[in-house]
Amino acid sequence: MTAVDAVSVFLPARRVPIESLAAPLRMTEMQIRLFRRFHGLTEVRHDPDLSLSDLLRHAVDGLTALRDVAHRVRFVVYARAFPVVAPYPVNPLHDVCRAVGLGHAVAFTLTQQSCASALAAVDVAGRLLAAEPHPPGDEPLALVLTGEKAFTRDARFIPETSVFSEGASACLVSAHGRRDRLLAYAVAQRGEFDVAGGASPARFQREYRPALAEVIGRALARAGTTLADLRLILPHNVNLMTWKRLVKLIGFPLDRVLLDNVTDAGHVFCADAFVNYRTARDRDLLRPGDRYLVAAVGAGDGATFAAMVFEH
Amino acid sequence: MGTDLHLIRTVRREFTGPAVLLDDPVLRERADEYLTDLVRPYGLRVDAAARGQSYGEMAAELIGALVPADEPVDLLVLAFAVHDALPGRATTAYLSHVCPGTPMSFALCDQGSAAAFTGLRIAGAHAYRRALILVVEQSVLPYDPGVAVPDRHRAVALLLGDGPADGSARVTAVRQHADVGPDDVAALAAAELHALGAGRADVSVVLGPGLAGIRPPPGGPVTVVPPGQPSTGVWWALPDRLGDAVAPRVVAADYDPDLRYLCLLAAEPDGGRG
Repeated sequence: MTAVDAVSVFLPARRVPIESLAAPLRMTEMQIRLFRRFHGLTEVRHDPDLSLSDLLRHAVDGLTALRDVAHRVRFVVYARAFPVVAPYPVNPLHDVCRAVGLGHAVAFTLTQQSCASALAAVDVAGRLLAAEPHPPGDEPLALVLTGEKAFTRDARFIPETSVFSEGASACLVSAHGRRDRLLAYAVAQRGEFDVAGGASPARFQREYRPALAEVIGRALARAGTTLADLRLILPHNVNLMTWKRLVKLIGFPLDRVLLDNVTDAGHVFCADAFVNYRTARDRDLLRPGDRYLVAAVGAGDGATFAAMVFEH
Repeated sequence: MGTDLHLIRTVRREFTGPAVLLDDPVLRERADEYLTDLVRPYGLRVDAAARGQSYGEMAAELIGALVPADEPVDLLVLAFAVHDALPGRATTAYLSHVCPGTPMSFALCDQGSAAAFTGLRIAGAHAYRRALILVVEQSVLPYDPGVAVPDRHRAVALLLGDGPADGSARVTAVRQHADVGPDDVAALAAAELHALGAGRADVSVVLGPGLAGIRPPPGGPVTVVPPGQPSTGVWWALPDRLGDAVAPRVVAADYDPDLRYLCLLAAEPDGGRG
């Protein structure tokens, strides 16, 4: 069973109040007020002195568990919200893999599920590992990376919804680990909300929370568990209001959704799940046997709703 | 591989002209802004007159040609190396929408010609009934990348199943070697080709443009894919070899010299032939 063995997160120290985004992003004062007061988004992490490779490198360097097992890493799966982040043929993924001694691994980017790509990457990593032959005692591992720069307007904010923070994460995945075992994964893709799909933004707004509730329900059913059994929900950090409304819809206590990072870290592209996992562990919020749910929504052109249930 | 992989059908297309979606001035402006911000840190400039193709448009046409409504797909993988004209778009979400079965979908990239092989490995590791691998490349970038880009817009779709079907071929091996240096690739490729059956009279060999200098063991026919289509070349040639009456077993191999991946695939006709 796929398991998360270790997670590290890197967030730039430099905090930028969202008011300073108004001019470069051509946002009105009203839009800024909406983000701050209604959505709880007050600042983002943004450091122009750190490159994408720097972000990824910091995250990998912070994964101390990797040091003794790097030779067992067969796959590096880079989950990315934005499909293209460097001009062809620049390749930060392979630059970083070589720099950190993972040149021997098969490395690729998994994308086009927007911010839900991270959950797909964990699932794919686990499946590849389970199918990988190996000698006894030399169980293969995968490294799932996330990390993005807010390099263009589309990658800096989602109108009326969220603002992006820069950051990165590194996550060690095994096929049969014991730390955080993946019990179930559910995903729903809604390509009708793509630029060529024809469905309206208003319909997307109406169907957003029911669609997320549906995949949450499906993941719980596959895991053979219920909302009542969950110790925590680790959300995507899109904004506070979405989650306040969603917990009402599904009937889950708001204080068991780890929302602190919405304000403190912001929406860190695909890294939200790992940012929130790290916070949960650092605060000792998960006990052995606790079950928790990770939710992600990739919304840009097209939409992907995803949920995973883990047992700690 | 966890699941049996059977190549059910393939379709390949060449496309001309730019993406139709770029006729929309709003989308055009978004794409231009994205590309301008993308290349600025690298000291490159965008040529607004250069209009590339869309992998959404190319792949949607292939899906329509390859996947009937009564053959729903469970997994869709889009594999590319050179990005398309709408680089910020989550294209596979749209492709899932237009593909029978509304499959789980994602794109693989940043791996050069190895990405399609990775797609096959992922398909082999999934429990599925039908998987669709779409290998795409387009030839127009609106900046100077400093390296060759594909000659033409081309796409190949591979429909895979978990069991044999009429005219299908069983994929018996998919292998990837990372960090293979140019001095080592000839020996490793020769050893792997031999291990997968090359040299036998009933085994055809398809070599990608990165392996043009390799001399496989004498035996069945050898196709060396000409340069110009680094991502689709092998997959474009594969169906012809699988249909060969004398040497229907195929071993295909490709090497990406920049990212140092050597990848191989072996397939044989279902139904006991060969």
